[in-house]
Amino acid sequence: MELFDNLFLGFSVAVTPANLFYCALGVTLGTLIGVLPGIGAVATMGMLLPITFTLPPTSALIMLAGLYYGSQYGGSTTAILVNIPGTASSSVICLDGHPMAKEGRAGPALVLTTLASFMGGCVAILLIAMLGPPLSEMALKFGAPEYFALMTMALTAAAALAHGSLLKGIAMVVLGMLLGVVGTDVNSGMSRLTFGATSLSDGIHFVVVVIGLFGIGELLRNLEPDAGRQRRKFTSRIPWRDLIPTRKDMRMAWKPALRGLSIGSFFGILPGTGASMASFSTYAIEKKIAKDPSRFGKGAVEGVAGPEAANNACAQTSFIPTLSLGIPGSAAMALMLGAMTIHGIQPGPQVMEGNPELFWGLIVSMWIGNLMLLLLNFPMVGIWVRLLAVPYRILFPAIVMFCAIGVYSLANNPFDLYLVAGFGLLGYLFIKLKCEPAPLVLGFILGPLVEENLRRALLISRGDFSIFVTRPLSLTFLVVTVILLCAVTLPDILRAWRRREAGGKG
Amino acid sequence: MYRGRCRRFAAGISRGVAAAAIAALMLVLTLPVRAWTPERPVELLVSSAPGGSNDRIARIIQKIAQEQKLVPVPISVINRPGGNQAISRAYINQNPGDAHYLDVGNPTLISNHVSGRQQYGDFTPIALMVNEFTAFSVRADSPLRNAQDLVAQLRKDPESVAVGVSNRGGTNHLALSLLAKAAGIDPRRLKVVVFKTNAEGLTAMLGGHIQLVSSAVATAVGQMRDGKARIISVSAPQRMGGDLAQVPTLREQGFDVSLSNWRAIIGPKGLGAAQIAYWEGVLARVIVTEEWKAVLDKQFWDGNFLRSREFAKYMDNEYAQTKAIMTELGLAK
Repeated sequence: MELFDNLFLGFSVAVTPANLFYCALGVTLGTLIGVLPGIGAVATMGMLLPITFTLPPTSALIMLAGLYYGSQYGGSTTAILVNIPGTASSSVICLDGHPMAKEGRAGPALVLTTLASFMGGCVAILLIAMLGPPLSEMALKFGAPEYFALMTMALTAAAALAHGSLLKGIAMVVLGMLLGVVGTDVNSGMSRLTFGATSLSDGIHFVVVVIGLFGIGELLRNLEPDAGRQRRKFTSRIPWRDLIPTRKDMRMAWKPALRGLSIGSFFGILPGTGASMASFSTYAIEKKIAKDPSRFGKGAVEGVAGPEAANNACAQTSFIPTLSLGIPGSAAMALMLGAMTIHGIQPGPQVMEGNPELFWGLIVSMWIGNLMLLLLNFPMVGIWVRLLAVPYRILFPAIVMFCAIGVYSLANNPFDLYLVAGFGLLGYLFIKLKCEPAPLVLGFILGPLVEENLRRALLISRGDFSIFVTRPLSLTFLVVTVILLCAVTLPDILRAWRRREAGGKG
Repeated sequence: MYRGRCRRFAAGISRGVAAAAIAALMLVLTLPVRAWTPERPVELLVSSAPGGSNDRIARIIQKIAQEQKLVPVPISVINRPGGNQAISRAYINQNPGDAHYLDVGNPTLISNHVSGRQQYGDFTPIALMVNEFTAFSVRADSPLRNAQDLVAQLRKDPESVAVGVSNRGGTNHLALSLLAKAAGIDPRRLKVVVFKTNAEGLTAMLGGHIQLVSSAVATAVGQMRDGKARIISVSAPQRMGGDLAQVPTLREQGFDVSLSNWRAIIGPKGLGAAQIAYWEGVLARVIVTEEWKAVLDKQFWDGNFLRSREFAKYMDNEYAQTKAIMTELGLAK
């Protein structure tokens, strides 16, 4: 069978001492930058690029790829421990991972995310190996109307993210969308809501918002006088036995992980969507189909396992359009393509035929890399959990410092640090007002994409709105959106109606 | 020295060049020219995120300069994206007259002045490195086979062809507008669809959602090789080589249009003659290496090395054409 020949070729390339070493180096560095909040894979890949000049191209790409998917593993660690997502896509893990830690269950949460990551990664790699080229065709089916309909659907699902007041949830989504449109409008090239500040003309970076709202906000709250008492439970010494998830946890986690990896694999293939959307959508779906949605936000295992599998699957499948179409779906993938060119490989559809040893070597190395990450992350769980016992007066400044370094590395712009401080204060205010930051973040990601694709679609159709309903894919997504809307609002409307009926009789 | 202040830009170039020439001549006559070499690590700025053409050219220069030991100190490439390049310009100008800070420049230097979008301070041109040309590509099964077909279709109905570009007012958009203008079509009536990246536009074109993509040549070539897309014309002044040997230029097809998305190395304002000469020398040695030539072929870049003075003159010419077409598009200030 051709697949086995190819995999055999891949193994012969990936399992050389040198390539194993670069793979290990890549995933270790990746884990590290994933754990450090804000320091993203893109900045690190950029910094490491000059070092790879002297390596053979395959080794260089194996290392850079390892760095990228490795960072997705580590990203959830700080999200669980201190409510600061290490990478953008792991901000969802804060929602239930951190409450788990507060209950003294940081260990099981970390083990579950590692397992979910491994599962997501491995299955996605199998997908690439077996179906890469046909799947890449799927990206072509998505035009502006389809993107618009898909994003609208995801935005509607965002209503599920809010627990508590629906009105507050909607307000947060709208605020997120407003923040999202700050910067240069893609269509007209005009600046919007920048107030003349050059540093705002490229918009606000997602990581800035997330670190400020989730991380700094949470840190500020921990400085309150009575916060120490609450902290005692989750900083107390935990016996080793309690670090591993219970059988019940595992039973509850595997199905969400499976759903997560399917959703993640799907979003990875579409250019311009990314891991954050994948993990947010998975969370929303898990919450929607859960028997008892009220557990979400209070340490639900499903809310950790699903999104974590999703963002890792997405990180892997985003290699599909990059390798088989030569079209990078994200900044990190654009950098991979850049690395290829510097190493003298013309990226594009011909890589698979022209450089099979590179293509299959890379695929097999990803699988080996995921195995390494599993072995690397398990022993770390104990160490991470012990980290919580570090006195807050030491932990707090250290976290702030790492956040600052990470945020600065985004664009080497000090202005971003002021922004983080501002969003930190806002985050604290939200906690006090009992407003959820998660819907804001989703609005922030999706708002600009919805707008951009709506305008693009209408431009193509010359202002004719029927473009959204005459195309089957777009229509399907919109129908699902309407069903979702009904599912969310109907129970309330019915209840209100019945109450009025009852009131009328009485 | 080169002073490119906003309103006086066009006139200022020639005046600035003349002044610089006289100043340099006087320096040569009166003082022994003291050679300059960098003493500290050099920062080579990139005004966009990692991964694009600006980034690529910076990293290739860094690689060759390091490997061939052309510079006695380390060079680090630093991405400072944002503000339509204004952020990296502002950064190097924190150290006026200091040639330890370099930046990659492209036609945005000019278009930002014309659009009045930004008013950044002065800069010193060091050397033009390459020309990058625009390719007009269509899906392999498109009825548009050449520039004439395209123009005929646009004449019939300018809105029947949705064109993907990655930046309104960017070189690839201007190249298309120049073609329309040369064919007597109002460039403002073209149906231009802006995507965040060329890659997204290309995906939409391959999926049949838009009909044409105006992008850098290198972006389109991969799809052409794979038989998925066809490049109907390029904005180069002469026939290009390699994969593009079969693709006629716009000029060959009867439209007097050529436009380059050039890439250059610039420095902060106020660099002295010795500093300029030093970097001109280093870059002149970069471009003769085999590696550089190989990169040019791979990227479909046209090596067009111009030293500081010729580069300033070159921009002078570019300014007039850019301003004219941007005014037509309603994008000028």
